[in-house]
Amino acid sequence: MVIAAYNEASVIAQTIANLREYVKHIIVVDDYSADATAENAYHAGAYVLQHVINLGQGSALQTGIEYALTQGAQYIVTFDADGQHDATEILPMLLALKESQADIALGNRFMGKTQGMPLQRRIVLKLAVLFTQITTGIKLTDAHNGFRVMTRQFCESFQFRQNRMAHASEILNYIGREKAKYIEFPVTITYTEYSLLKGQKSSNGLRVLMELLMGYVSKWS
Amino acid sequence: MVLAVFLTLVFVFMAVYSFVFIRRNLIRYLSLVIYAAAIFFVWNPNATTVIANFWGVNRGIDFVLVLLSIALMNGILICAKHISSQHQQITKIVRHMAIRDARVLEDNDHLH
Repeated sequence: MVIAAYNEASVIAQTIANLREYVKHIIVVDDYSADATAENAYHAGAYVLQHVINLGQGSALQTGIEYALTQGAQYIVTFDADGQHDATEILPMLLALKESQADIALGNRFMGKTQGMPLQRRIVLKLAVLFTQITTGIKLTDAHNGFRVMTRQFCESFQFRQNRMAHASEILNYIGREKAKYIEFPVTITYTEYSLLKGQKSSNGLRVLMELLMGYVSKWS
Repeated sequence: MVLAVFLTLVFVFMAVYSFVFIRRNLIRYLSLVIYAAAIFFVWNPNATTVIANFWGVNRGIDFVLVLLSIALMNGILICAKHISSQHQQITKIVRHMAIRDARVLEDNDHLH
């Protein structure tokens, strides 16, 4: 289980406590938080890795994934730090991945019981789905869900190079390009005042687009 | 004359810079040809006027300024690539340190 955390001191211990019933090994990557995120995660029993500068969520996830691989993990789950995901859905999602023999299971909030999603967020996410279909050719109904289960083989061949929010699109581009086998799994996302405040802003869509574009330019030149 | 020398220097610099830092051979050589043509046009303004008219630009000097804009854009993209490359290097260092210094409560050390 890999969690990227940035200034999540007020919720990280509770998120870990919720997870410990279902997951044995929890890795929290603190992305240079200004608060006590790392200490709270450490005392809650997680493996804690700390970035010495702020790099972004994509980079923090990759750090956690690489650490999990060095420790022999066979399946790696990514989960948001703010507690908006439901820990009880991890095991069913893992079983679905194993049964399907896919490389990755992607959480899908539109198939699940999502609660409290603002209309603006719904519109932006649907636009992201449309963009993903056009650019990758893969047909998803939720393009930017942080709840994923991946096999070791997938994590060994894929690497997040987009340090910030564009990582969510990057992984879908990879799946489309490499024809990786994926499944979508219905998950519950509970939007709280805290998660809406902390989570990705709807206006960040354009920024994600520019990050992806610069990524292509850097690779091309 | 002063502008011609200045533009020549800019184009020569960008040609060398592009040649050294662009990795794809096709684009490297293409940029060399484009910069060589640009320098030719700087010193042969009549030729640029003919071409400028063909592209719908009125004067040769305007055409050269368009080329200069392209050169500047090329420089910006190369700089962006450098910055991106440096970010990747910094990321690797930070990641290495984070993994090296990973910690867990002793009574919870059961990952294996």
